[in-house]
Amino acid sequence: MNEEQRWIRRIQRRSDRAAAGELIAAYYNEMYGFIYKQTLNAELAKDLTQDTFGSMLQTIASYDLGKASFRTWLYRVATNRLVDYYRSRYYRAQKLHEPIEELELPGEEDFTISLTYRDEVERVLEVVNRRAARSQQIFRLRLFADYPFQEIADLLDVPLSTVKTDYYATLRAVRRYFEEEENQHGS
Amino acid sequence: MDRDKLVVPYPDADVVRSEIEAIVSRSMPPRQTFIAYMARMLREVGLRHLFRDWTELVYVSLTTIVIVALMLTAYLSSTAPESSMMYVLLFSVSPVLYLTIAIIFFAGKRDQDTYELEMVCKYTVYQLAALRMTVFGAVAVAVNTAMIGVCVWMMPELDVVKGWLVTTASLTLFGGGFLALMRYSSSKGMRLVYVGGWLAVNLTLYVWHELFYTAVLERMPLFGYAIWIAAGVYGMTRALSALITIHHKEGYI
Repeated sequence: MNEEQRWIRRIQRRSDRAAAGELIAAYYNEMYGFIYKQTLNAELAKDLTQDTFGSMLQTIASYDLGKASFRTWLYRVATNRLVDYYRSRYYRAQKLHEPIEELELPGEEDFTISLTYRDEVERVLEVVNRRAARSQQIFRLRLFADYPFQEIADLLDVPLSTVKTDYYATLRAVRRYFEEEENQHGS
Repeated sequence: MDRDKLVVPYPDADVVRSEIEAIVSRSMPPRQTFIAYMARMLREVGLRHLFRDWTELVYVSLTTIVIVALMLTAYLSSTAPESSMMYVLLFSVSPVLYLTIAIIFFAGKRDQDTYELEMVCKYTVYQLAALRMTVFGAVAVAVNTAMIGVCVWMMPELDVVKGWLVTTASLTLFGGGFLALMRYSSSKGMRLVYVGGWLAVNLTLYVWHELFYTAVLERMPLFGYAIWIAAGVYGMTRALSALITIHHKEGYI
């Protein structure tokens, strides 16, 4: 059993605060970075990081060491917090179904998103934050945490093909948004 | 056009430390002992709200009296010396009142519409049940003690200390088993079978090998009873604590 697993056991069995501190310290920057890239706001990222670790501590009793790695489980908690936050902000009587052309099978997708520039990330988030919760989870884990499709499928308990279809649908929506913006600027 | 590169402004070590402290102190309030937790719940909920349905309690008490009377009739036909018989009787029936009430409470609770509502309140139905059982455990010990007093008054050769230890040991054994059962099975039938089984096993043991059974109860050293009770109380506390944390698991996102 490694040190991380010992911390988790101590929290689960004895609500050990020192172990909780150690565990959070080990992941704080990683989670903060993951969240910051999706909010681009330092204060908000700090708040959501707090929420993420708070949820983690409150639900760690049910975390099963044998099922998923702690890191993966933590990413799921963080993604849920992000989705919740944006849903509460953006949720309107908006379309709940994606247009039919978005449900194409995944094919060659030459459009890529780089996370190098702030304005590009901002534009990506404009699209992502408005999508359905499941699509957001898939897209965030893939793009911002660099998770392989198979792991996302296991984590969210959905078929691999669904994960891919959904990811590429979001990617197409982002591309369309970029194209529309360019057209507006061009005209 | 100059474009801003995406750089994550990681907070410095001091900020991270204070953030971690805030998270831990907010999400993990200092752990309370079982007794302190029960005392706080009792203060916040109040005895009056803990036991609302007195008719139910009266009904249960009457049922218990009938069961005890039936057991008494069975034992009185025995040939063993009265004092030995008394220990057996005390052992068999001491926990009955406590557990019958607990069973009826739970059986009724699941069927009521308030079950779902209580599940979202500050304390869950399981936590309240744990509190009720603790209160009843205390009441049952008090009632048993009074019962011993009456028995000794009627039968001076009875040993007060031993009598008390017998009833308390029986109560903890029975209670621990019942709570363990409750964690794994929510069926009403199982609980009734457990109570019925307890009485039946005791009666059968007694009828089957009266001398052995009475000898075990009568000759076990006081120290043995003390260890038994300590183990039983520990088991019951563990089971009740598990009941308190049940909602955390169910509330998993």
